Amino acid sequence: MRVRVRLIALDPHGAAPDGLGGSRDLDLPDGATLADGLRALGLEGAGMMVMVNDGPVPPESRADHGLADGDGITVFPPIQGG
Amino acid sequence: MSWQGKILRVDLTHRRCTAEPLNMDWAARYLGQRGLASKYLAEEIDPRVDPLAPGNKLIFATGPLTGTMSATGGRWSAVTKGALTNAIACSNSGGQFGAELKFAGWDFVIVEGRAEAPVYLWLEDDKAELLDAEGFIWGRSVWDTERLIRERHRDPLIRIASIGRAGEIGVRYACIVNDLDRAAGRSGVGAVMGSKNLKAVAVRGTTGVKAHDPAGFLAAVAATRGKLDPSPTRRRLAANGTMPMMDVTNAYGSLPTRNCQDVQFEHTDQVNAARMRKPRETDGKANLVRNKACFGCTIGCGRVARMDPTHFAVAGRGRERYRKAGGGLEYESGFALAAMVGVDDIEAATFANFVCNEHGMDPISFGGTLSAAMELFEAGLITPEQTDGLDLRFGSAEALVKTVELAATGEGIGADLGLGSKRLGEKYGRPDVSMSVKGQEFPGYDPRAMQGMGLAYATSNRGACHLRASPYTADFASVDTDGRAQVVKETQDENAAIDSTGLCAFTHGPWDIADYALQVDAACGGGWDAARLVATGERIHNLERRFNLAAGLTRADDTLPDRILKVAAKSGAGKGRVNDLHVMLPEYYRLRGWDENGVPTNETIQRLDL
Repeated sequence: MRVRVRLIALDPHGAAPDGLGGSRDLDLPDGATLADGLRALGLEGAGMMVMVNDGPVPPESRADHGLADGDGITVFPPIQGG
Repeated sequence: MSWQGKILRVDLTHRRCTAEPLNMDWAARYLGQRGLASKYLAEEIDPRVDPLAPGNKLIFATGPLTGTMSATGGRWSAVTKGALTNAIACSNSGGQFGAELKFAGWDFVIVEGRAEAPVYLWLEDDKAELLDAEGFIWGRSVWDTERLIRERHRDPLIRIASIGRAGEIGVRYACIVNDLDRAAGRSGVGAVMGSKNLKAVAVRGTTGVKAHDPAGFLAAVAATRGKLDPSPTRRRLAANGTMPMMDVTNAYGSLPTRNCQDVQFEHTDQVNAARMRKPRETDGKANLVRNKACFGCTIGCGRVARMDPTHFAVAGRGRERYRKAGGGLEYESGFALAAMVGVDDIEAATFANFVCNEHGMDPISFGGTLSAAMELFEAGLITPEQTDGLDLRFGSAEALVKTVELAATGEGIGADLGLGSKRLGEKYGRPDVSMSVKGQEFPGYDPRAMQGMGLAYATSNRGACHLRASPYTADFASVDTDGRAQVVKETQDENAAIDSTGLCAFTHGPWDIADYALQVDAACGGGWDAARLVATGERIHNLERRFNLAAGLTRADDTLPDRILKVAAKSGAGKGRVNDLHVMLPEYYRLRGWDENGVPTNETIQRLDL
């Protein structure tokens, strides 16, 4: 299956050149979970906040959260306001 | 120890400046800055005083780590009864002013009474004078004021905190600006300063700040910088400031849009961090020039921006200084001057932010008030006759550009805008259009998708605020209310303690409370540890609460606008939801040790040694 990944405000010295993320497609095997997807992105255990489509998925639920073809995954760090 | 042990009391009525010792017994229990100044205010004024009356006092307060080598040790606060809120106000700023005040030998300046004619306070180490402002800087902008004072006293290193036209004319959300674009921004502290006929505090200090244990302090600074400097948080803030939050809240559905009628803004990509970096078609330059830092800061979250010189806000209108680089948009000003008013023009928002800096207005409250006015205009309650034909509908960049200057000067519809959204809504018989708590406009988080933030807004002692508690991580993990009362209570206490140190809240995360305690203890002595710091924060929060209760606020003021409590969010993570404050508030009161009316019990008062 193919999911759409959107990265927001990630480490400016990390994957995204301007530190602001971007969108990309990610191919995963059928039956993959959200934890699998984060692992494929190299973001498992990075303390990121994650949404699937419009809903947040807390860390404790990601290993059991099955993904479907066409899902949108949004990932952002635990930033605070200012 | 890193307190100077000295307060300057400025009696404007009798034009008298007097030095007195800092109350070290209170410092041991309330630390400094927010906590200690709130203690002084609570002891010295009648909580029911009109905020704009001479009986109110205004305290310029540093913390024990202000002016030290601690990373971000440049913070200071203005503490008073707020003109916008009628509640206790503590507005926190950075820049260079706070450290300079400390270098001059003063922990606090307590301003009382009202000057017969406009004055400014000139501090040169321990020399303190009140000098005439009329015919010199009264009526001038913050930017002119800083330049003129430095020219008169022939010293480019003078640091100045002043009000602009907005503070002089009593705009309810006027702020105190220092170092051109750093501001004690919230709750109307600038209106209080203006009511006292005090235009500016100018300071030049040449003394140092001593640590109780110099070797231990150096080690504490090195250890804590070792955590802060390499952290992803610091790198993110240095690179993009706080603006990336715009994409986060938009994706999550908690971006206040068109006065909270929507929770996502369809033009976010025109006003976000990426847009700030994108070269313009007109001149090939980006809005964002670079970042900058306050005194002693190793983060550097500040934005320096330059406007498009061909933009209608400046082209052909003079305003040479608006073509130069200045304090740029951060998330809070960005959301308020764009999504909240429906404007998709980052140059217009930058212009409005420059005006807020130059004339001393809180851009959050200005944006929140303008958005309420736009809703009234679209409802036909504010008419084109009142706006001199200006189309005040949501999305109008022209309306944003024109009204921000009118608000700063009180001309035309600007007089209404200077009231703040609560008083504006009441004037037009529509109090429901005010997205505020205790009269203070919302920051950039809609509380329907972020349940904990709703509780934080409702229980903040200074009105709606995103810095009094930190439920972000919990709120971005789920949209329910579980555990929010605990998170809000605990982080309110922690943040009250941090706000009393002289350090910046943006260090929290890379640092835990023990890291602040380590530095405070080495700087001040006296046995500060994490538990004592948190207990101090809880004491401060309760002190502020008791002030507000004595001022006449009640449980009924711990609430949110009906739009948030009764009208479901249209989209995003919170789609179909309202804020369930009624679920969280009783639990919060219980965790606080308050009765069902939100009043601290005798047991709580004794436990906290209030």
